[in-house]
Amino acid sequence: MPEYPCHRHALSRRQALAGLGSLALTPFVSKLQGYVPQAPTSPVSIARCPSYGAELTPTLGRMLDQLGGLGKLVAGKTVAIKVNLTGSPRQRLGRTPSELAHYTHPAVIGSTIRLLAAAGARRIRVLEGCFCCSDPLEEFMLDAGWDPNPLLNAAPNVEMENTNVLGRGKRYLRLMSPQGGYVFKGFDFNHAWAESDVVVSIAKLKEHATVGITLGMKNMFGATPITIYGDGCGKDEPSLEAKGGRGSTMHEGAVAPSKSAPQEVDPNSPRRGDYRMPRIVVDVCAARPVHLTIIDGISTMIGGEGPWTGPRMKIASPGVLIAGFNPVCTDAIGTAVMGYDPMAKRGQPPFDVCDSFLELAEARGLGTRDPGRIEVVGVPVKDALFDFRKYRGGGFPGEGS
Amino acid sequence: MSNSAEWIPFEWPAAWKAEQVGLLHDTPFNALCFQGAPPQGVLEAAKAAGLNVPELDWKAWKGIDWSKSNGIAAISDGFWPAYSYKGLADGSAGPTGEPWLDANGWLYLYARERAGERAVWVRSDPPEDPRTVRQPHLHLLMAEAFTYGGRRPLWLPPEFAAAVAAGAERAITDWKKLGDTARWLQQHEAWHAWPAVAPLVLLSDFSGDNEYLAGETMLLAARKQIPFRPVTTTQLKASDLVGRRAVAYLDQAPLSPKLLALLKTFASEGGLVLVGPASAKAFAGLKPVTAHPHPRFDILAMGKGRMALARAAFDDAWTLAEDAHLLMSRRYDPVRLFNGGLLHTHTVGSVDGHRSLVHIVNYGAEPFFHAVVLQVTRPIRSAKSYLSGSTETKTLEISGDPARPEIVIPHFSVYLAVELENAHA
Repeated sequence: MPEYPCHRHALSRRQALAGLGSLALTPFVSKLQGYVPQAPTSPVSIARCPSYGAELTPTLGRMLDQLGGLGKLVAGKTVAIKVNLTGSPRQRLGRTPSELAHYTHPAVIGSTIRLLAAAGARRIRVLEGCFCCSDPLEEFMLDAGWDPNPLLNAAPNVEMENTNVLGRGKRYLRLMSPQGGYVFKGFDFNHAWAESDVVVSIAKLKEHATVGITLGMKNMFGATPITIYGDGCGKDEPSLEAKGGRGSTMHEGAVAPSKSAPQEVDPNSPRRGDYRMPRIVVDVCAARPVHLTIIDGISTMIGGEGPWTGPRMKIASPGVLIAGFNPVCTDAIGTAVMGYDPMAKRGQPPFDVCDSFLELAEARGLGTRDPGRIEVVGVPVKDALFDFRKYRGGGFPGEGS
Repeated sequence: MSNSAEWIPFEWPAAWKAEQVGLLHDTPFNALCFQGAPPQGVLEAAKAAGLNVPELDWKAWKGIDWSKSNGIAAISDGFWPAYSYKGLADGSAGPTGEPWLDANGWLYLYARERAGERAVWVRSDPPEDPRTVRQPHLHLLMAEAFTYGGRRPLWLPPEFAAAVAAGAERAITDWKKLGDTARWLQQHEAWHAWPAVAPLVLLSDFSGDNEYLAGETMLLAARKQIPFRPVTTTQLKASDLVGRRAVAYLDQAPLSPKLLALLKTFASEGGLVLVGPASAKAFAGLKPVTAHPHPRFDILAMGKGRMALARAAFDDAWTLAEDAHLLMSRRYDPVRLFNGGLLHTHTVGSVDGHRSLVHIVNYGAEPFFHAVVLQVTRPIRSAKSYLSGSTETKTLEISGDPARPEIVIPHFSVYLAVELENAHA
């Protein structure tokens, strides 16, 4: 099983040591010296990008250069890209194509593939646990009205996989969180997650009915195979086919994952999505660290994570891209760009009705959420600000749905 | 009128008397069906009015004698077309995970294939409580049959039939609307000459031990809106495979030498052929395609195409239909609907290749108010809609990627056709 170093290349030596301390030495150091390590930080780049046209790739390229470039991270490596294609491929918010509302736009995926290849990535895997199904990802994209070929041809050695099922793998591979886990200490994943050197999470800048916001970290929740973590999962072993969503197993905790996979840390913990989901998001990101987060905020939807979410849904064009090597830092800045306080606690927007996964991730040492500790390069937050709550007209995502 | 292909059937309400024959005057209904023996007075009045009263041998679809070359293929065990509440315990969905529709498209397609030049009529028992039947349901009976080239005798709920017979104003208005719809459909029957756009062939003898699986596969493929054409093994010709992308051979027996030759040629020229284990020996020695491993099929290269050899006998029609679709690829679906809900499409193309037509049937049988988008998987020059009952056509705006243009579908209750002018004939 490969190990995945935290993105030390992007950190200063001091930051890296702080991060290492949080990962491995925390109990020892804290106990003996009273030292409370700070979660690691890493710069985040923001850029204005009004459309998915010709300016997209150069803009994203500049952002990644501002972060120190991709070469050291991906040259000669196998890179997994987690895209966000949540919900049924045939369901749209009104007449708006999904990529302009709740799906990661294919142009952003294509630009990322080209930049990864230019930086020397040896193999690029586009991955998603497609909504309630075992369909090959290419076919899922066709069902959504996309043509997957431009993505497959965007660079040499690009492949796609629906990681709900075994796919090209012969068995599921286990990744454990070095930090332990809030709900799960580890997960069994499709081989592509375990056999990739680098993980890129390409998320959409969105709100979320259960966890407040969904950005790079929440996107990784979809990496969990529903043959093991889905409503129709096998009781003892993973089911052959993927059926249903992850509601009963993950959100509600009413059904245990297949017994072959790591079980819950505490089966007596609250059976509520507002408690479980923020913690599971952190657990997934701890078990399968994300090395690069890219948030597509060029066009998105307001009021939830998909067209099923609630009564205040709208299409919006924040015209912004956000990228960073640390997923917590990147999501924290993304949160700030959305007009929310990433330091907010439960009961404060955007975490009106749930625990803050940013706070939980920070406490686990995955990264800081404190914007005062995160260097923003490119466009300042205040100039990229797009106030979701104001645009939506109050309330919280999913309210009244 | 002696040509049964031109008969528009009407199921005579049991409570109607001979004098009600006059209600059919000025309607397109020109053939009467009876439950049981027709009352003599009605029969005489019908004949005097020039109406046809065919002798119909209603049978379950599995019992139809397809070898007959004349008369009407009268199928008695269709579905009452509607959104069904009898799926899961919560009434929300069937095993497909989608709202369960009782639809007859597969049956019309199959019967049309088997019946040759004979007319195909399909009926079913009405709902247990006829009071649940609303007027749009009656239009749906006719529109669904029209979409797939068949006919459905119009049945009237007893209370409505009584109101019509009594001359109640609203009932008469509704009755006239039913006649208008039937007339409109009759006026557009030229579309029946347009063959279905169906990249997938479901090949079977549709009999004996194969009957159940083949029937279920058609039913569920249609349920999933997979565009297919059923072809019987004894009828398959090379010309049936022109323009197709895949053939799924559903039967348990090995392929006959004739079928084997046809399908090998089809695969060698770029097609995909799915067969069960009994036919696998015929393809020994082919090399596997080094792509995505499949949980149920070995995929082998054959010329420019592929053979998909099932490792185990087919036993799950839903999985088989979906496997065939995905192995072929959704790329070849002629259209797809977004936010389609209870709408089903059936696409046909003009023989000259210049135009295609998308029949859209609304099994909800009531207006919808959300945005429904039709994506066409090839470039088009123009699109216009035909609303049943209306003489006007409406030019529809085309948007999106020219390679996959999109059209917002106007709101309608039961039936709409969208005619597309293809960019490349």
